[in-house]
Amino acid sequence: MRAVWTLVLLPLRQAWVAALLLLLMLAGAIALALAGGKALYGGAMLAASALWFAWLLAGVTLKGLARKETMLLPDFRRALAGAAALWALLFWLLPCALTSLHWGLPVGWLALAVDALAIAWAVLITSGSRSGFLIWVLIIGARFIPQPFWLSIEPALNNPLLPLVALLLAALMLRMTWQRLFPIGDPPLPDSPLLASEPMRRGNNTTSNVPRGKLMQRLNGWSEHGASALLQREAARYHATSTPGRQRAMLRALLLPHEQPRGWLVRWLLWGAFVAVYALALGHSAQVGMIAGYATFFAMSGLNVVGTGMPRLQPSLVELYFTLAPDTRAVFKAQLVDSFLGVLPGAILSAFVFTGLAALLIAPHALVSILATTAILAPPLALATLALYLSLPVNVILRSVVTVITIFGQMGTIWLGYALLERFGPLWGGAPVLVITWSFAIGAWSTARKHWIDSPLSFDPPRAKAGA
Amino acid sequence: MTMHAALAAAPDENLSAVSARALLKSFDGREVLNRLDWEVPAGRVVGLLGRNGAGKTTLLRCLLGLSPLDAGSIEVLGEPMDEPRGQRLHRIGYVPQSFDLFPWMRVGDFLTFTAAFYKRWDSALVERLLDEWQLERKKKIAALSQGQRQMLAIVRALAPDPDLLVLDEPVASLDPIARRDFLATLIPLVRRPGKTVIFSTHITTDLERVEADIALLRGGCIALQRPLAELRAHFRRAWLSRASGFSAAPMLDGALDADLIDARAGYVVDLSDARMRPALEALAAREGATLELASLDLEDLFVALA
Repeated sequence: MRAVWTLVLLPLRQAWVAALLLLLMLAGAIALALAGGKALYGGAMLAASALWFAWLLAGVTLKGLARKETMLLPDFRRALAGAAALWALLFWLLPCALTSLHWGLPVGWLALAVDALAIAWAVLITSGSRSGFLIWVLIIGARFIPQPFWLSIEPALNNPLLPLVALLLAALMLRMTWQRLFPIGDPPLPDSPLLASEPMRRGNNTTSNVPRGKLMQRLNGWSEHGASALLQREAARYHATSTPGRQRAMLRALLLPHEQPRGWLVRWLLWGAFVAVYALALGHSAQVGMIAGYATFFAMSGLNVVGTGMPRLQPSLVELYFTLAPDTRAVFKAQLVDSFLGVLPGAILSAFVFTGLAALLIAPHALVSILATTAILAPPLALATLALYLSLPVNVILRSVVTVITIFGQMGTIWLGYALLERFGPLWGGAPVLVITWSFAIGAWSTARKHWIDSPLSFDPPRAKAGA
Repeated sequence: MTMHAALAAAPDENLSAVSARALLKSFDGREVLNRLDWEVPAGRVVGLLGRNGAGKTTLLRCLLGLSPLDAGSIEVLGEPMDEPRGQRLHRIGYVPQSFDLFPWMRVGDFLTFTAAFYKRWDSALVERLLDEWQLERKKKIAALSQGQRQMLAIVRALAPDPDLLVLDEPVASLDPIARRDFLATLIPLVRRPGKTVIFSTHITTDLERVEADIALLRGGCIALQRPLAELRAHFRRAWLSRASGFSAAPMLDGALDADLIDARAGYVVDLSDARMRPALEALAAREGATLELASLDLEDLFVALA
């Protein structure tokens, strides 16, 4: 039983600040509920947020426990099941029972199903699965689904069996997450931590970010051969004549092995298919700006690898340090940070490919204007995004905050850029967008670069922390 | 010509390859290096011994500037180690305890990349070792076993023919054959003038095989540093026995270690101290015991002193 209690309390112990926040949220929810009246609904909303937050904490802890070694602990599965049951009782069944008492059994039944889905989603997201974020995209995308669609599925939404389907779906998601966290068999070989993300690639938070499936692995292998050939070429060039430019090219080939034509093609194939499906399913010519905005957003999404991959690259930097033999540590850091600029061409070209594809599929007549908008927006946006990800703090919560700010900043810039260009044309709309975005991008990059170079150089891996 | 004779001919034998002064390093309030002073003369092979957690890895990382010091100063190859100072790093070979580099790369790509940066790179040695140690160029580093990764790290560290080779438990994951191969490769390297090797290990027989100087890290300081031959010549285990036996080992000033085994009092003593033998004989006479001196191998000495 001691093991069960240890596991029950682990999410709260290892993130005590978050646990304190959770308690405050729950206390606030109870206070609002006791106040009654309209405040009761506010309390219910706050409680729902707190419960989802609690399951995010539990998910992070589960991710930390997902090692083969933990499975060798005596009765680990049983203890984990016991802890999960207690958490479910406290943060799922009890709130649903209270909902039933106050609003009646049908609402309680619905809450049970919706909460189960929310729990499964929270655990899926924290496991590092990109599917978890796809659900987020689906929720956002649902706003743009035309009204007739909702009317047509209204009977299905009112079906009393729908909560049961939701419960089954939640169970399926939890099973998928379990299989993801505790896979059977040998783990695949890792790829570079600074590898741009793709829809079929394992999340960057997992031990391996190698893609799933044979076709994907074959494509990855094809890209790797391209990377290997590029590295050999760059090494030969550098060996023949050592110049700083050639050294940067070699570093890029080493640290960003998929930032080369084959790697880009594979990325375009995968993300392109995703963009195409998205554009065809949701888009029509009036929405081409919005779809192109999302496409630009997808193209930039790979840039966060610089923020997430760097801590895992730190142990390898010792080798690079001796190989590059810099004069000073600052020079070494400058060499590294400048090599990160190697992710920009891929991101910018991807923006052209994805926005062009979206335009061709839903509004071919707007292709030129969409590409012109991309040409104005994508380069400074990519540089600014890279700068923001480069500045990610070490603290996990702050990292999440900066990441969310970056994502919203990206989206805001894209929509604003499209709106200005559409309204005032390429000259009067484009010029201010160019001036503002480039000013911000250059300023952000210079600051981030300086901050990164000035920060202490560490060759140690990120501190091992359960659940982190 | 013996190894030491060869080293005596080293042009820079009077220089220190490594010179550390009053090093302080703490982790979470625990002092790992405690005003440590250490001088490693150029042209020597030094085996760094110490118990688990004694701070061997920390010391080596601090020496190379990979871990910041709380206080103290270090000179490596005649220059302060406050900055890497460019090509000086190319004169240093380093094999870390855990070889955790570029797991996504293939062996061949990794070596090609590294070789491109070095003016001095012994490709023939690389090819020979890859062949002897059966390291496939096309294999991904992540697919190598721990031992193979360590072999690759050793190949990479030896290839530039470094003046200072720092090896942090380099043979811990190697099988006995690979260990012997490694030492057979290392010995000719260190017999060349001016080459200095520091390696930490728990396998004391390896240090005996390369006739290393022994440096013992204990309590955050270098507690002992002597050539192995000197240790062999002077360090002894002294046994005091008597019919009635001992219930506790009597005090012996200057003893490095005292123990009671099977009612016999045992001491580890340094006979190069001229006062030690008379002190032992006096103690034996006072206790009515017979004195017996036995030789110590390095492992016994390590157990006694660490």
